[in-house]
Amino acid sequence: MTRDFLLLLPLGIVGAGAILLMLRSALGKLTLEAASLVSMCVFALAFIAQILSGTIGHVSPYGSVFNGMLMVTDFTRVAGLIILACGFFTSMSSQSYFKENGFATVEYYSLIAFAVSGMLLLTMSQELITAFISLEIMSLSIYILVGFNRTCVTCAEAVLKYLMLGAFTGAFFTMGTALIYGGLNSTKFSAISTAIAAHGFLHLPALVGGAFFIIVAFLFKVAAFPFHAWVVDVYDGASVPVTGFMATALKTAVFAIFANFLMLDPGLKSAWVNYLFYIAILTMFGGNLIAIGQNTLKRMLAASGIVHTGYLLIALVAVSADHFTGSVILYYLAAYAVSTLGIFAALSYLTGNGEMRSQFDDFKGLAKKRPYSAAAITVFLLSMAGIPPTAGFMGKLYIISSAIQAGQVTLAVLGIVSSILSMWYYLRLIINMYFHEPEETFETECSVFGPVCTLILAVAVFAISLYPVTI
Amino acid sequence: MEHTAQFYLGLIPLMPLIGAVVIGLMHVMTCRGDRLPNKLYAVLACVGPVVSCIMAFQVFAILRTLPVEHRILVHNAFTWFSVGELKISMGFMADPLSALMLLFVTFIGSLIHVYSIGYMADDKTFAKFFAYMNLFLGSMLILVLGDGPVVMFVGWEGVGLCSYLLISYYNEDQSNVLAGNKAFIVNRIGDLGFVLGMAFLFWGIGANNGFDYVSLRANAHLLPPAMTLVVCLLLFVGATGKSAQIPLYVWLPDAMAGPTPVSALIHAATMVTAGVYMVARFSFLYAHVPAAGEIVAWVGILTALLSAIYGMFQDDIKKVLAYSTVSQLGYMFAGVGVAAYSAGIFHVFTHAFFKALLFLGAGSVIYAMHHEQNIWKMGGLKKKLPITYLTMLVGALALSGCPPFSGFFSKDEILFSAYANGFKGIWMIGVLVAGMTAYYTFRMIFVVFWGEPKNKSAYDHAHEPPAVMTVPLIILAVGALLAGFLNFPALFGGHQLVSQWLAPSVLDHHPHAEAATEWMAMGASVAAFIIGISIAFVKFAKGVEMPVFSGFAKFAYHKFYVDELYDFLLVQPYKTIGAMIWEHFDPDVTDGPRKATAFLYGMAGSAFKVIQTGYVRMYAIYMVIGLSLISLLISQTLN
Repeated sequence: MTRDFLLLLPLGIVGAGAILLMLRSALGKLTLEAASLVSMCVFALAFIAQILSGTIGHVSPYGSVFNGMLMVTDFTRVAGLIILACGFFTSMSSQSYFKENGFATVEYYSLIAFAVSGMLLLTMSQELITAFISLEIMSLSIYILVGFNRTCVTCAEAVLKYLMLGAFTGAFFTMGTALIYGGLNSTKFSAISTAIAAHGFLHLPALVGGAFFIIVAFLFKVAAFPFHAWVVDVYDGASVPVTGFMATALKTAVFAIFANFLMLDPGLKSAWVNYLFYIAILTMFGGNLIAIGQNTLKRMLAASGIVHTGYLLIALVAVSADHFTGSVILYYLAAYAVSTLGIFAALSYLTGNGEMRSQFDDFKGLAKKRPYSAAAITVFLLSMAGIPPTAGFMGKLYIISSAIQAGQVTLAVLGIVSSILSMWYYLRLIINMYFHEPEETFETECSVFGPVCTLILAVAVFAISLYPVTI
Repeated sequence: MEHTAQFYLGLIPLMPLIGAVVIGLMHVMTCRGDRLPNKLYAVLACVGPVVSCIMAFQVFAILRTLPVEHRILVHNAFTWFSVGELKISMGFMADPLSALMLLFVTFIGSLIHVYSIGYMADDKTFAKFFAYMNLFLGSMLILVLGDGPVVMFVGWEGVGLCSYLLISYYNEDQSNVLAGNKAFIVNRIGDLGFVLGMAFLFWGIGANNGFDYVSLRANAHLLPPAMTLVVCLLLFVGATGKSAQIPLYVWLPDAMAGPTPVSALIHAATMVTAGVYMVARFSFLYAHVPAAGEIVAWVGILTALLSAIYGMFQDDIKKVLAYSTVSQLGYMFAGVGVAAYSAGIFHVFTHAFFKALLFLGAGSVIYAMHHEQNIWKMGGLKKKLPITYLTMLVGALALSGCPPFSGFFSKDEILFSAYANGFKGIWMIGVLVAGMTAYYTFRMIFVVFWGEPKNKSAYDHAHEPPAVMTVPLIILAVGALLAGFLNFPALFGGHQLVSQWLAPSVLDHHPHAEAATEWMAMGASVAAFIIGISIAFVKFAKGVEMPVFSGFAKFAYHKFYVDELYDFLLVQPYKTIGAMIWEHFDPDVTDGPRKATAFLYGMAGSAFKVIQTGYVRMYAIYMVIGLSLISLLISQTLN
């Protein structure tokens, strides 16, 4: 029982932290700095608890109470660690961001904690209703976070688009759940996998349809082609730290449940491999084409996020459903998370008041004025582009080699081609930073948190690259 | 005991490396604002080398307590990388050979660090200098202690980097930077040889049986003779780069552009002897192919001759010493080439003392004369700089091979081994070079310290440097005087401690010769020394003006125009080809398709941007279309 408690402790800590922050903000008198520190502490504590809860294999915490709705595995634990780290660094960089931008309130940090608790729950869900609820906890918090700056028109536009399309997706998900319940009389993952094992996936039409809707909902959340279109506008509208948070934590959580769902049975996976194959290719190249045309940094990063979703889909295609460990997926998620969070942490103090520096051209000559920030951004960009010896390179290497092992050579080659194409927009920023004369001083009024956060993440880019993974 | 020693093995290189990081960080943090006091850096800089030195002595002491055949300590710090079956550890090994190197590298390294505190006192980037010096010492210790070729190569490249950084240390002057570049590029050529040799060795026996010295030595007989020859020669190419032998010796004289302590530590006592150490380390390969050894010996002795000729006509005090270093390195290669590995290493050992001493002495002369390096502008300094003069005199006598100074014993050992092993030609050239060495060394001593001062005002201002500089000189002078007795020849009733100590590590070929032969060889060396010093005395003791060279002397003064020849034959054609590729091939041929692809892709990107309309209804339509298509396809599979 103690172990069950420990396994759910991180979720408890984050949830309690979120509620406490929300209550405290109603009473007032809590400064923004204090709120960010509190939320950082909450995430740090939960992170430590998650590490200490060491487990091997599959455990259903309080199985009799929750009726097996939750399951903790090594896969979900590591996904949880990535999400908690994302929450921590987002709170940290937000602190700097709100030195320049004055629209924050204490609820902001509470909402990040709510979103993280939803994500943690999502990774552990083994049942469709639980998954739906946690998906909605996460999504609702993020809708609010995206539209947090109520005076800003683009934010309102972003939140509206996201909310409408997200509602669409929520409808798909419930539709899928209903179909599965209709067919199987249960919404539990274990029931689904037993049914497939007994009858074969293609002989259960309700399940085929239900799985289809649910997977479409996941594809929307991770912004895979053709459900990607919202991403660019929403990322552009949200404030910098929120964008970073969405790009990393949300993607990790959804990929975790996506992988869990897809790996329920080899039959389910093999039925989807062909579609995922084409979706992965279209996602990578579509994302690249969108990214090339962008002049705004956030839009470019949003589009590049689509490309990274494509790589992760390659990993999903390549992993074996029989011996699923998910190490490659998690490694790539972690590598992508540090690089993306890092660049958003740097942007959160560099963009300045009202995010006045948002275009590629606004960063001309940054290296001359702020050499350390420019160097850190370069590290993150090179990691995203997949240049050794960064984490991004190792992540791509693992994905490509697992694809080759799985016999998906076409995907591997196209993955490499896409990675070469992506240099276009990553190097463009580096060229702007280093090979132009500065036109301004890049003075910002930031706290020490933003730069420190950037530094830690820059170091992490190299540290993670040293971590060995067995495919 | 053994466990402690193994623990120390990991710490010995780590100490200076930590020092380098700490000093470097402190320097970077403070270089914009107020700088920290030099004293702090001075203390920090000396801690690492001194602690390493103490630990080195302890390792040595522990090694001595072990039985002769078990004198090998290995410490695997961590697994560096493992690919398939291959596993390379970051391993450090102490055996008699590396322990001996370890001792004098840390000892002389520490002394030179102390000396540098005085020499560099007025330098603007004091901390940077010591960060580099510590980094160098750490790399050198990795090179010496590495338990296999791969770890050795890490140190090998590390010292090369530090050498480059420190040669170009005074980087306001472009010629210094160019000297650093030259050293680095020439060394790259040698490194290529090393890497290729290592690759062949790995291919031959390393891949399946382990790639550390112990395994390699045990499996050396499995390597086919032809392959062994190739490996030995390629490794020797690496050695010619690092240890400045023909044809890659050209960088070392230019390397004197660096601060004098650097010349003493890196370009005389330690780094340049790495090549000799490497050949001795691989003695188990060289012992199998006598042809390789013969080539090494001949290259060595010809280098010794060539640079001794150059040395006789130089007018920069450091250049004289630089050519004498190249020449002495040639002796060492002659020694290891004729399979007298312990003699070669013994000369490395004694040379480290007397050459470091001479360079530091030259440094204190240069310091006293306010950075004047031309010997013809000095003169009469022995009254002004008595300590420097006496210590340098000891160094000069050791270098020229005057009995009973250390250089005499080690040089004689090499020459005698060459003679007794049947290399009469090498022996004759060796004796000739010994005479030339005595001549140019004492030419320098007489011109600098004797006679009348040439530059009166500089002479009047000259004074003995502070104690931090003179004390290391005195310690080194004692070493230069006495180090030779460690290998006191059996002929005089000695025990040849060094040769015995090294016996388990290297495969020496012990010549069996009569005592008369040994007396004869020794007599020839002494005679050469006396002739050389006498000529120098007659020509320079009274003091002469700066000579004007003509004929052969002019040819030698300009170093036989070898630099110009290399430039004409290699550098210029290479540059021309490079410029051609850069100006024509690259933009017109290779870049054409690239530019076209980029253009097309850019167009496609702009076209694709159009579908990002920004209308949420369009986005919903995309979703519906995608959804419909997938569901259509899925329904196909169901039927």
